[in-house]
Amino acid sequence: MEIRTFAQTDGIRFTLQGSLSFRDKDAFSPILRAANGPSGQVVTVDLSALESVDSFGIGLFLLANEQAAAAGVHLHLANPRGNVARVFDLANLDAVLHLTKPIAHQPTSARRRGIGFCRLPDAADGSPCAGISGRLVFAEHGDFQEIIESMLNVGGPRMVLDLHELEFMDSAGLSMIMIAREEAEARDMVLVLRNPRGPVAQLLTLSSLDFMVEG
Amino acid sequence: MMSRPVILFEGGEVPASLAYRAGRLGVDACPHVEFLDIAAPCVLMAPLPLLENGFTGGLRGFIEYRPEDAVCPLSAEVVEAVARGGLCLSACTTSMLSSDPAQVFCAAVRKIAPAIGDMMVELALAEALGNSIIHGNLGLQSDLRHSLAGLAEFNTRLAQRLADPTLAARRVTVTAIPMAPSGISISVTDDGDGFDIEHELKKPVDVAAKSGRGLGLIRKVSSQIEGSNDGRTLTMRFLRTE
Repeated sequence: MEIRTFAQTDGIRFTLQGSLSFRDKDAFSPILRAANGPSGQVVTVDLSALESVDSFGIGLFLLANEQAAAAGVHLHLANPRGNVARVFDLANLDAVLHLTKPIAHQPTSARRRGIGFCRLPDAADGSPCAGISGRLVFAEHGDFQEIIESMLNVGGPRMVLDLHELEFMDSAGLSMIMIAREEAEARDMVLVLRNPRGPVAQLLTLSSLDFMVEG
Repeated sequence: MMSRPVILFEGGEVPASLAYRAGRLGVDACPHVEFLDIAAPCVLMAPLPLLENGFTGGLRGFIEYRPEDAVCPLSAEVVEAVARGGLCLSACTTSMLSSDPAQVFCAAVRKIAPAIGDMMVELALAEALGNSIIHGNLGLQSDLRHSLAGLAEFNTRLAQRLADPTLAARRVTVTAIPMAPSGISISVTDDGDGFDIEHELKKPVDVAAKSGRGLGLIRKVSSQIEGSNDGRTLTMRFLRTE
């Protein structure tokens, strides 16, 4: 199972992809940590790309729910589909868990999704590599600051930001990247961008910043 | 062809302030009820979460309604935009920051101006909204965003400004009006102090600059930009490019 983490203004959103089974205890641990607080935090687990779940996986959701209730965290399980929705129905989990079912037509969301961050395998030279996803715009200053600080603390000759999953970026996003670049240089690191696509690649070209893109 | 919009109010009886303002602007306002069959273009006035449904079912505009607002947010500019076959969106600063209504608006713009590049409109609108919210309504300057420590200070000040109910309630209004033969004019208006667009455009921007790119990018991706309303409104025109 693949898990991705997205910071949001009121909490954290996770997306799960693939199959959740007894093999995924470690992969699931960020959700358990998030369910432990702080109080009032909203933790949303998007299940729309989760293809199957076994009884161990159900146990993990129930455990997260129990921890969230004890910590005062609002845990929402959103968009169970197909086999996952059927398993949840059969187990009557909607009586226990806060389930948000998918709607048939999903228009472009008005909700700010925030940016996601995941550590990727280090580059060949040992440099830290991270992927950013979502929309890097003026409202995401706080989240980006935390991401860059965590990257800088790892150290290495380069700091690689993979932008493949980044859907959109504005000039405030560019500003944040330029700040990251300068902070990296102050630590003798070189910031490298990788795999920008679509509007993000166009923006880097428009701004004459495509020289930062690897390759 | 001009067609006056109807304002659909979500949440029961139409408030007296809305009825009065609608009357002054020559439009009807009525409660938003299911299965309402209205031939005219409609503007929904409702709490922001209802924008989740997008501009569907003949909806040409959305105005965020907050009972605590002292002034009715229905304005002549939104009525005119919809009457001319366009779109409108109005929301307070807090909502604009915590949600991303621009995405919904861009999706609606694509429907009335399919010949205009998605990326150009979305980027220009994101830039204009960022300027309106951060510099206009919240009165924050970019000079702090030159280092990681400055960014942290910027975030602190942003939170402080948002905690001020007067600043948080300031509005951003976006309108889109079709232009013959296949262009579109998008205006973004805020409640800030305004800015001198010509002066800002003359400022040199270094390639490695950490701020000050927004207006230059808007100028690059649009056909024409101009300021009005004492610098509180930025209008961006997009023409079809073959």
